Amino acid sequence: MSENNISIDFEEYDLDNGLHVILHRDDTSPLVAVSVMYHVGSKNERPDRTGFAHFFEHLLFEGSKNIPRGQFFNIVQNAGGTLNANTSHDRTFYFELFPSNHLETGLWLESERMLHARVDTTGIETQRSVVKEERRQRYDNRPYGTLVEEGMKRAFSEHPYRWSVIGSMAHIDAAEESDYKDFYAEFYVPDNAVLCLAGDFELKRAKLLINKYFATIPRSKKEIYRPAAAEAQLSREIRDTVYDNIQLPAVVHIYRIPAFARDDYFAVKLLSDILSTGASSRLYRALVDEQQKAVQVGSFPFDLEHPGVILQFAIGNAGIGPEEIESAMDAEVAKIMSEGLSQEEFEKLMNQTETQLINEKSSLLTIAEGLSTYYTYFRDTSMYNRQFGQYAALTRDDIADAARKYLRKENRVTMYWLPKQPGAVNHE
Amino acid sequence: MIDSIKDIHAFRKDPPPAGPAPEIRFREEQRLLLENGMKVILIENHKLPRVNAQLFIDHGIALQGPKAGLNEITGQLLSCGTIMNSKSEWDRKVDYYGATVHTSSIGGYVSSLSKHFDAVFSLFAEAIMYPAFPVGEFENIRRQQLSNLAAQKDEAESILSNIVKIRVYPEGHPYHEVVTESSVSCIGLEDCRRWYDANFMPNRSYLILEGNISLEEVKTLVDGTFARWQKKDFAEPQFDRSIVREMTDISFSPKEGSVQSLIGVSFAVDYLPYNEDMIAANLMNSVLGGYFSSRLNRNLREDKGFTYGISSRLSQDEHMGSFFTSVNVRNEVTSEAIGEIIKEIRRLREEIIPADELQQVKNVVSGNFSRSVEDPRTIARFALARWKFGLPDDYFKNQLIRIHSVTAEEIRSMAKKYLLADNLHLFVVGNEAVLPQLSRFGKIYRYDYEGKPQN
Repeated sequence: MSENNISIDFEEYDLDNGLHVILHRDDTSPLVAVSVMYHVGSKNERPDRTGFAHFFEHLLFEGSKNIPRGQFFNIVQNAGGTLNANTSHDRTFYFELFPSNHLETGLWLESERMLHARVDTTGIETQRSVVKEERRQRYDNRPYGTLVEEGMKRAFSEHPYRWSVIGSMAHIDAAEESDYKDFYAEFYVPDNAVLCLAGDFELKRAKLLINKYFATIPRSKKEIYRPAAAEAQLSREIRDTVYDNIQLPAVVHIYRIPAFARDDYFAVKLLSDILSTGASSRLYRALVDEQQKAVQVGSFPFDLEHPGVILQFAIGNAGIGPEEIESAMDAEVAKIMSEGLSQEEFEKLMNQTETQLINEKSSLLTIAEGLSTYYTYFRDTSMYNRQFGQYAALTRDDIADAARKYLRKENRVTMYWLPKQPGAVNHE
Repeated sequence: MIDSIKDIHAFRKDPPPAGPAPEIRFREEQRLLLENGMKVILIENHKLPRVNAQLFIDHGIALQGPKAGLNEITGQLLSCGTIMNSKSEWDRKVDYYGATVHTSSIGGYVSSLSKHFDAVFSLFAEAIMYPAFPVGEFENIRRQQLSNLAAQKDEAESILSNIVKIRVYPEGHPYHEVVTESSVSCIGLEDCRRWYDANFMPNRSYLILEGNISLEEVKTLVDGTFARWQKKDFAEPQFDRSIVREMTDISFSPKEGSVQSLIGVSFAVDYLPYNEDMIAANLMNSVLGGYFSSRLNRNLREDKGFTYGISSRLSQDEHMGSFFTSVNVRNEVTSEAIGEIIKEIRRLREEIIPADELQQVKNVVSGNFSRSVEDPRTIARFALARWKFGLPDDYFKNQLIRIHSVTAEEIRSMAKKYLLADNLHLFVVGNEAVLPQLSRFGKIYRYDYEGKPQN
């Protein structure tokens, strides 16, 4: 394992207003990534304004005091750059990738967004419609599209992870002027943000420019709302059936697990890989290849700041019932619990993990996001370079132990996702 | 006091000036021609300790008749067991190295860390050269395909793709063929073997490697694998590329419970790869639907809020080119959205594009180009195109200059040449309730989800 130490060099510091800055230089290409991660996501929303963090992300492309509506995109595009943003349960991430001579353009734009974003009524009404179409396209009108939303609703009853990032159309419709003002004032402040530059730039000049554009942005004036992390464990298995416009039934298991990069998270991640990464993985080989019960299987731990979930699913072959699929899934999990894994499988996991971590390093934006995430959740950017070590320190027993600890029936939600039948009604 | 606060932000008023544009560096490729006719391209890139390789078998296209889907199943079957390894053995080895390998009807892809690449590349070559065609794996793939085809009834994108094939391309052309449950049921294992024998061969293959590997190492790898592959005779089938234009029509396919309509607009065009129009035609399509602030996206998303987003593409193709755009909109605005798309197409054909918009599109397209050449995979794609189509060495290097020389008048003439004002094929996949909105566009044809006519 000689190649596992691809370390990302970076420098970091705080401005007086609390903005955290991370600088990673790489001059292999004349490009620079400019990104800002705000520590706000759907979990910071009010229960009657779900979807607001993501909706707000759309609004923050509308313009600022110095950038007229629609010009944000034009400025980046005219500079030959590209831009986007995404919102999760825990954070909102804005980014641009520019030719390196446009570093200052990027800093200007992001500082405008942080200092005095401006949205007019036309912009609000348009983005309201756009976000509702996004919801229809990606969730409501897509087979299995609401699977995660329905799952989280059942896996949590108190924590704000119980609602989806896209949120409710009614809540988006209900949003008012004061909601925007308050949200912006509370969360879009320098002491709640990480600015990261990755790519081809001169350190000294970059620091001067960062100071020029960001140092005068005032820090927050009120306390930032952070929901409590803990929700009690599930006391028993929750089972339910959801009917959708689909042809093939699916079985979904959602188990509660530790937060991203905390406690047993790394063991759970490897456990997930052994179940579903690659054609030799346990669930794939058993359900898709050997028993031919499923067309597709998957297992994904959600990388959440607070204790979260791992989602496992199998989509059945035509004519196979959900009970049959579920018992095959359970049998594979039980096998890991009782027999553990072989040395060869363990080495496979290490090779897969090493490959994945190296592949991530091919993109400036992925690196910027990784560094920013570790700082945002842990105030410890260097954890990004210690990831492989966290995995390599695990043993075969740790992975089997994680199966026994987390993949218990009492710790899960089970959903049968079935084709709509005449007369069938979904529970609310 | 207030004035001084204003002052500290006064410098922000205008976008800052940019320094001189960085020079674009093109990586160089190396080429090898094997005795059996296989063409090998290498792009060295030692930044990360990994290598990837793509195999492209240029066997063209062919009619599959009642067995549509034969090529896809065969491509998948290659990595389901070889003469040396059963599927589960082969999977176990590939996964052990943390590698990605897949095979398809036109070749395959392999990627791993450098230290494992020798072993992984051999497994890949084994799948391509010595597939075993095990009957059990074949049955499993066919069964999965049938399940996936049944699932298409609820997938608007798949339905649209089927009905576009039927309406846009003429009968007798391979692009007209749709994979259906009945066509997949007709395919047998022997068909796969025969199809493989007729279409997989070194003398139509390009192997493109990129990453942390030298030409000497590539030679050694290839000597032990693909250099041993036997040449075959091959005659590429030819198809009529003539296009018949009809009056604008609209095809509808119902999808139960839809809360959005998936709209498509498409037609065939005569647009050969790397022809003399390519740069200007690409700019023209970018104006229409090739970037965030394109006319379609500005109109349908940013002005009207009809959709999450829309883009369009103008595809060059040796066998038959095409124009295609599709968009998801809420049911109520289906016909209005179609009307806006047609309006934007016509406007581009008739009006001269304003200078600032043309400049913006040039900046976008040249920006995309400059960023893309930083990715070694782009250089690999360019190298393949140059070899396959016999383009001059500096073809791609001159692209930026050519982008900036295109005039507004050329954009309009490209729109007149490659876009249609009438004779469009319109498509809607969605709720029955939207049907009454559609008759104003032309004759309505109804199809089921597989593209079979319905009445």
